[in-house]
Amino acid sequence: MADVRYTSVRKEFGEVVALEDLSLEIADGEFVVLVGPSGSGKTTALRLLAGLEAISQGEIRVGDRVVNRVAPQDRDIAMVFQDYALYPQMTVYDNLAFGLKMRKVPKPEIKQRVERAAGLLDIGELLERKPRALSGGQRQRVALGRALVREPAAFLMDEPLSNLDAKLRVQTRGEIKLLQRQVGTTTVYVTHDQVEAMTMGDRVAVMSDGKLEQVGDTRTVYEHPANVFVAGFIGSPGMTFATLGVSRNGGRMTFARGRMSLSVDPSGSTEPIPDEVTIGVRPEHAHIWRDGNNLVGPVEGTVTFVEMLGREALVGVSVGADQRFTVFADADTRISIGDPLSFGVERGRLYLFDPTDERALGVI
Amino acid sequence: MSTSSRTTVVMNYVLLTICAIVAIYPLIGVILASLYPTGPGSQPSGFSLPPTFEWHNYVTAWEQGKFASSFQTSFIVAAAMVPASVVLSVVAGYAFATMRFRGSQIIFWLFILGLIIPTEATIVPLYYDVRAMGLLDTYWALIILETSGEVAFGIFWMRAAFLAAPKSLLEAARIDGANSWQTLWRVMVPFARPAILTLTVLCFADSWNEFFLALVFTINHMTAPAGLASFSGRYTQDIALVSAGAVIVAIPILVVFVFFQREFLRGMLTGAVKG
Amino acid sequence: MEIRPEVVRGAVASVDARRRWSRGGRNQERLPGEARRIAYLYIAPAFILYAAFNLVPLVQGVNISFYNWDGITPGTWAGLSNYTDFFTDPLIREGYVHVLQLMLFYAFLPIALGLLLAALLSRIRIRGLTAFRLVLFLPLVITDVATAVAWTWVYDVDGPLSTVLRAIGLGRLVPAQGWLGDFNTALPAVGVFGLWGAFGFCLILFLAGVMKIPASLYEAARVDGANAIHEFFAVTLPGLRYELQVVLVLSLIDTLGTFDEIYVMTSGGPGTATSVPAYLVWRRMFQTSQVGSAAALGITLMLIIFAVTWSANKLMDRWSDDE
Repeated sequence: MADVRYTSVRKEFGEVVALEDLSLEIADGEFVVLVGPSGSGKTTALRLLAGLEAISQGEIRVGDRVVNRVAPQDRDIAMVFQDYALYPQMTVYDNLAFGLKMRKVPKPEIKQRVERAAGLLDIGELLERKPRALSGGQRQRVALGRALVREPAAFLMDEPLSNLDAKLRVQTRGEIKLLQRQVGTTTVYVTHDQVEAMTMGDRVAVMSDGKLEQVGDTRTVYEHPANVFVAGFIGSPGMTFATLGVSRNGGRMTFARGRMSLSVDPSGSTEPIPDEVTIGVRPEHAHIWRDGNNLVGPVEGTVTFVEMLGREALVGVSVGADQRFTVFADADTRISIGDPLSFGVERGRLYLFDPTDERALGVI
Repeated sequence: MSTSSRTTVVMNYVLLTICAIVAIYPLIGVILASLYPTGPGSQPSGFSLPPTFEWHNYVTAWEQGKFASSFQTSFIVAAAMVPASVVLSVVAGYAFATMRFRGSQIIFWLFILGLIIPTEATIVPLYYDVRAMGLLDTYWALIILETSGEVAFGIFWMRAAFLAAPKSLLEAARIDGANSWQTLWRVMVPFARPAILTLTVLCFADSWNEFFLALVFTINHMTAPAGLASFSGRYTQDIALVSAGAVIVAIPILVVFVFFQREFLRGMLTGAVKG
Repeated sequence: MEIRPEVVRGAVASVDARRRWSRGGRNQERLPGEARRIAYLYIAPAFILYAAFNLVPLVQGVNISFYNWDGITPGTWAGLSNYTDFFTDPLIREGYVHVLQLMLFYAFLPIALGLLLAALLSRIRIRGLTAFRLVLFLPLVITDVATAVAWTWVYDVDGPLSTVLRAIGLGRLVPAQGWLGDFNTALPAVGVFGLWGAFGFCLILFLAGVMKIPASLYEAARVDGANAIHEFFAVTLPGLRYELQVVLVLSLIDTLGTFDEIYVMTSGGPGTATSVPAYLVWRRMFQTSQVGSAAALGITLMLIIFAVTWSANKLMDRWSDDE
């Protein structure tokens, strides 16, 4: 049981910078998810913590030990691999026991720990089987069990759910989270799936291109994204953006470009807004314009697609040449491609970003 | 050509049967010849059945050809050479596949070179070296030379087999606390068991079939093929007896082939067929 | 002498492997706790053995080749004369001419026949293929001393071949001294022996390779209006280029090293009608006491094998790149 700390960690592979100055603190017992697209450096960060790659610069601590030069087996960490990496010729029992055997844990204690883990994961009946006789979900549990049994200071999980089918994935997500609560071990979890990140993490660290874009609890990351990347990455369907020119008259501002024009009443709670601004709208905050509704707008455009989701529909709207938005509508709305559509944005849900450095400026 | 009409199917079988007959024809011929009465003046004739089936030719050939002794030599040499080659190849192949170390490229290419260097290039100095070591006409000469020749291939083979293991398997073992030796024997060897079995079978075949080395380095302690060549040289007129000798020498490797055909085929084809 | 197909794949495989396992850059940083120096320990036994009995003798062989030596009395310096013999000694030339001729039987014919048959055999599942494979592989599995003895009988004046020919009225073709005793037929006879051995391997190899070609390629060709011949050149042949490359190099090298069957079947005769370089090496070492020359012959053979391997590979790579 320990906290994990990255301090200014940098990793280069020859010319390629995989990780650029990562600083992140993970508290003891916390479940932190590193999320981002491929190439974001999340897996590299995990592997550096595991000791499977060497750090180029910076420092990683587990507990109060600097582990930069410590071999993986001595870092007191356990890892769950994406392909599970179960030893194919050993039984499930032996797979679970292997790490303990290597550490010369006495046999009765091994038996005890293995059975306890097997109980927690409900794989007690599978102990004598070999991995090839197991289903994907069962193998995944064995992989988890192997980490559990070690009782390490931290769990490291490298996209452990991505090889499962969708339904199983959703189910297992909850189980892993529950397990972690029960066991209380610090967990660093890597995924590219932002839904997974948002459902599982105590805190979410959004990464892109080797940089940490933002770290915070799920609410913060969703409601107060730090920049365009985080805003667009978190949430599904994702936020849509448009860069508009700003003109001011009196207390009001108008954001406009081409055929699109929004007149807004900015409250003082944003950073100074330059002459151009990138606005972001989450589809769940965009609704079809009806007179009398309390929305910011209207924005007029043409329907480009309609996606029925059952309970509601996603409507794609194109405004002008290159401005595209997605709007939520009721399932029974009769809209077809090519129809004109006006929509508006809920107040307090229009995100503003600086168009040059993509930082968040505020929300109005 | 993926139609499966009746005629194509039949034609397939006909073609394959013809090929099979061609392949087996000389072997049948020699078996038949071996059953003819022996001794000068008895001329086995072509492809007709012998007048009587002289099975005891095999006993005569066994004795006259001193095959008891040569078989013993062959088995002893194989019994030493095969485990030695396999173990050395497994251990070295593992290092090449999983470890990074200075000079690994160069050393590996030196081994690869061994696959192309023909025995003829080194046989002359080897003969005099072995003679100087006093190992001429001993089991040791053959064991050592066959092993040193085999490891080049064996290392190549095992390295490829170990490379096929997912990297995460090795990483998991490392995190679990296994050192390189433990990882080799507890994780990688079980993983590569089929490849190791194939290598074993191939090493045995190579050892049993080796002729050139046996010819050069042995006189009194010949292996089976060398014994057969000598026997055939002494009894050229007695076709039946020599044929019996040939069949005798062929039997052990045939038995191994039948039992391990999968490994044989895998070994001989895998390198060539893109995996 | 048997060389494995992996010889050729060695280059390709090791480059791939490097990419898989390395991180780019030659001096990669050491991973925490990574075993590095211990690797030498793993490699040592094999390498010491190999170096002592393969690499060191190579150097020694080169040394010996610069001398005229009978193996007993001290040798005299010969400089490069043992090597220039390659051009002046008719026996040596003859040996290489013979292996060149044998290449037709040991390499080109079996490959061509194997390709042809693999193409003719339709790509349906053939039941009992395992049995066929067994039989077709037999020639290669059994020691060639034994198979050579078998063929010595086949080529006998009263052997199966002659008997069959007589039975169909072609008895006049049978040479008086047997096929292996006749100056004209001896080398082709050895060639046919090699063809017999190599053919099964080629067929099985190409069959396996053809099975791997996706059926969709053939179907696309069929839709494009290709007939059987077009299909062969457009789909089958390119699909087999890897196997072709390996088999070609392998069989060429094998031919150059031919020894066993010559020793058993003809002893290089009649006269020198079937002499080959490897046999010459043996003869000069043990029968004519020309040890220096034998060593030089061995080295030369090795260099030629290198050259053949290299050029065959280059040729095949060029062909593959043209795709």
